[in-house]
Amino acid sequence: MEPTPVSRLLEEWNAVANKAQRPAASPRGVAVRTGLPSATLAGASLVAVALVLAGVLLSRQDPNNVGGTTPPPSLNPSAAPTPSTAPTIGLCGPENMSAQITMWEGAAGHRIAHVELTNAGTDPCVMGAMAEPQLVDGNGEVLIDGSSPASSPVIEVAPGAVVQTLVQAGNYCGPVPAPPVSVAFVLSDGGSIVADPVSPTDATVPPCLGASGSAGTIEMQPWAP
Amino acid sequence: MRGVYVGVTTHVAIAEPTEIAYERAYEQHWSDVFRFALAWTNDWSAAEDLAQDAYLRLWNSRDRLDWNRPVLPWLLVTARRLATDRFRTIRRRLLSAYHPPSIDSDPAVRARWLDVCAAMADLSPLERTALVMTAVEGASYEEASRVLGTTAGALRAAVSRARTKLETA
Repeated sequence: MEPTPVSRLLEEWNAVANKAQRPAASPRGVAVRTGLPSATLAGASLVAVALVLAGVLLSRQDPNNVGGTTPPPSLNPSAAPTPSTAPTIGLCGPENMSAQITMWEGAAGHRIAHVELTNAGTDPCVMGAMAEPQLVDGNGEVLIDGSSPASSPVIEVAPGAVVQTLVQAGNYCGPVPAPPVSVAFVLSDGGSIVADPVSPTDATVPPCLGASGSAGTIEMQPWAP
Repeated sequence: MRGVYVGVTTHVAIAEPTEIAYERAYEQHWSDVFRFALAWTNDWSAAEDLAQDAYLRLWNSRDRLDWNRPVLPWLLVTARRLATDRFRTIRRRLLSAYHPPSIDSDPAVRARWLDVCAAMADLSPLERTALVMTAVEGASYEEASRVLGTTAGALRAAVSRARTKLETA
């Protein structure tokens, strides 16, 4: 029986994918997402750490420079081993945080997302209690862009700890979004954490209350336990 | 149908050091994680990046995991979550000009990949990954739906849409 074009394509996909070479060394070490020297943080009290990080959080970087100064793991697979005698607290980021929209609720022309953020790593991390919220669609397009906070208190998230927030979006007057619609949080260093949507087919957007193409609004409450 | 994502597990004795278990998981499942990431992103270098990041997270979580449970589903779900970081796409574009993916070293393989990549580009990440997991990797709809965070019914629909798109392309 003659294989179908789809079967041939998948066979080809499989053959090419099999050519991938596993890097010799397994990646190890905690991904530190900022250029903060560990010596600055080592041995410092949490208050001192918060002061240092507050400065970082306030000096927002160019969003295009999302790679930061730390090369991605694939470019540096043999990162230094984890063990360290001095405690360090890194910034929370997509490497160690997992966000989930637990529900949407409607209110007076708005849509409110209940979002939980979990530190899925094994180490505590710190982050701004406020970030720049965005409503994004399944293709990563920003449907509504919030404003970045002028200042934000710093919170520490322990391993396994969950913090929550409410994100309120209003007046979406753009084209029909590609599902799933979700909420992203742009962090102070330009990286972002995208929450897992309520469902893969969720297309929740707030109703358009203004003129076609008019700007929407999106705001978040501070992350809190 | 054979349940590869349940059947292929990392069996590690409880007393075994987690570091050894981690290395075993790296040797046994890196290819699975890479292929999953490749299906999701349709981008070779991004898939390599995602696979490494997924293992970094596994390393960071190694002391909290139950190593007697299959580790591959954990890795695949982690890779999917990491892939939703939309800034990864931008970073990938920025870096690709300076750090060609390793597939570049083999022109013939690269040419074949570009053809496959172009054909699969019209599919959404969910459609592409659902199709690869069920038709190539041999996963059941139930297994694939758990990894992809959806229902078996939605996954069947995604696979059907993927086939239709590819047949009519």
